[in-house]
Amino acid sequence: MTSPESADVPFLLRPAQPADLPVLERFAAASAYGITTLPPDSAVLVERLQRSAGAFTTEDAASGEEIYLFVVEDVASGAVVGTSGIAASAGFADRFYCYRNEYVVHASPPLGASNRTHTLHLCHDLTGVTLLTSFYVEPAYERTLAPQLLSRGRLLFIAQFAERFSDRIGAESPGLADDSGRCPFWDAVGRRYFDMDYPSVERLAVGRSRSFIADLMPPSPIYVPLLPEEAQWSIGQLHPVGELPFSILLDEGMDPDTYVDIFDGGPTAHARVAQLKTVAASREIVVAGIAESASHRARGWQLAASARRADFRAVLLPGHARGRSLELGAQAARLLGVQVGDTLRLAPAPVATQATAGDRHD
Amino acid sequence: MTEWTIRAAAPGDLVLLATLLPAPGQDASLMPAGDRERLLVAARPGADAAGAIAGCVRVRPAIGRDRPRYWFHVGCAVHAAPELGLFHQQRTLVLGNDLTGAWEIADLACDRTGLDAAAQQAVLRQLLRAALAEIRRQRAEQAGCGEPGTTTVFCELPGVRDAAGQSAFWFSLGRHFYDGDPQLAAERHGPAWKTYVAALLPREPLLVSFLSDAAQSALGAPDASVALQAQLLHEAGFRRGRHVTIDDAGPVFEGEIDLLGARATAP
Repeated sequence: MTSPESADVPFLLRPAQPADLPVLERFAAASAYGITTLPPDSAVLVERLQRSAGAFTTEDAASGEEIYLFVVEDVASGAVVGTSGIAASAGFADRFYCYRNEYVVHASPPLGASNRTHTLHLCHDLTGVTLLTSFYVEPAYERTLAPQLLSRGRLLFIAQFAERFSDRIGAESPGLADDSGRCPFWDAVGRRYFDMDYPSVERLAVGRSRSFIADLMPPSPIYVPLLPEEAQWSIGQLHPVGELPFSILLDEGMDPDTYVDIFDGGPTAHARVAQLKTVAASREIVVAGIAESASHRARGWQLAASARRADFRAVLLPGHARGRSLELGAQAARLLGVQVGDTLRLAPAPVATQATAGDRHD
Repeated sequence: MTEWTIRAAAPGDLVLLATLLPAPGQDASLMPAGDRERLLVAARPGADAAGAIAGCVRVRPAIGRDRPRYWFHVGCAVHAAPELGLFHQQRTLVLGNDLTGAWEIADLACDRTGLDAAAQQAVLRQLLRAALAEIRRQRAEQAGCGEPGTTTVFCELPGVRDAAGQSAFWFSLGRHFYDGDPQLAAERHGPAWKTYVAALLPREPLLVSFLSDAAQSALGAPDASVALQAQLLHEAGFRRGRHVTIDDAGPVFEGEIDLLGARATAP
């Protein structure tokens, strides 16, 4: 049984620390498929943790090469139960490739015929946009509020430190592949250029930049009707492991239909940062007071994040604050590391009603 | 071996010509269009009446100037990355009007039921020779008028079809862009149908590896029904160039007029 207090603030989002390596290794092993920014390789994870710690704490202006890794803790147990990340600038110092869905219409009046043909164009449109990456939550927590905090909490971070990010945002999602790594999109497209299977090219891509591989792909568009049906159908289709984070990003208002991954055909969602639901609705408020015990349970949830970069914290609080100030419960204030007079960034959390703090005990 | 009389087609030949040639299309005639197009027929010696046509050939000067003509250029793309040990060479198809302005020899056909193989060969060889002579004659005329004129001559042949008349190349490529029946369209519009269908085909380069195996092997191969024409064009010095027809990937034989016909004109 959880105490009423811990149920008020069930999860805490914070920057990942070097000490989180073992748990990230466990997540990386469990998510071996599809999340290239969370590879099951300790050396890579150590390096990413170091880069992330530097990005959170540096006094320097942002260069675009920063990555930010977050973890979410179950407040009741103190256990880390998920992770998410941000890459400040996609393809930093290089190009970020994707296929853009386009439709060309050709007509032949003498034949009385016209066609609308789906084509995929290799493009660099998303180079430099901020990327949401590395999402993983333990299966037991998928139906709790943890994924909501993991995904939307980092949007408050971006909103708070907008000068460190692009005004556009993207998120790659894994495309369709079976357990052996067979990927219909790759087999129909990439394999024609590389003569290697998808797991092999994924291994190559981890070791070097993906753009190195993409540079070898022909610049002419793919005429989708010429692909096998299975591959056509897989364009923009999501691997089931990506459904949860993807659904949150769609709810935020990201466009899932314009771009797909050049390797597996998975959807690459994108949006203007300012138009994301959480960012648009977010605002700064001042902590007006701290109550010993949390106020009575209100309906709904709101995201609250500290305005500090180095020791950024975000939580979900019950209720919806109005006005320019807020009275926090003592536990929330302690978790956020704020005192009376500090600034918080607040946004309503549009979470489904069945996702409650207590579900994890089911 | 019979020598045939080669002469310009006359309106009285049309009934027999229609049995040798594909339909000219709506509101069109088999008879030559324009001042310089020629339709030559091989007539049986001494015969001048209908019933005596053994074959025909058409010469078109400076094609594609009134109605754009399209072919696929068969090119090559190499994906190489020494670091990856990758060297991948493959063929590409690019839609274009490359042969615009060239001379065309078309409709090289003979009576395949009334003539034995040797006679078919003889009449086709003689028609081809006459077509080349006609081109040389017109070029000499042009030179007299100070027109430089092109030296390229080409001849398209039908690509591989199955027993039902279907092309694997069309099935793999064209039908995705035009869902009508290509044979009906060809009968209705005549040769112009290729110009019309080109408007629906991909404008950007295609990798041949995206086509079916059957379509890939059909690329540039003549249909069995025109094996004799292919052989005679080769004998005359024509070679399959880098182009194929856009509907069935039939071969486009190309040559330079000054280098053509030496063997074909030999006795």
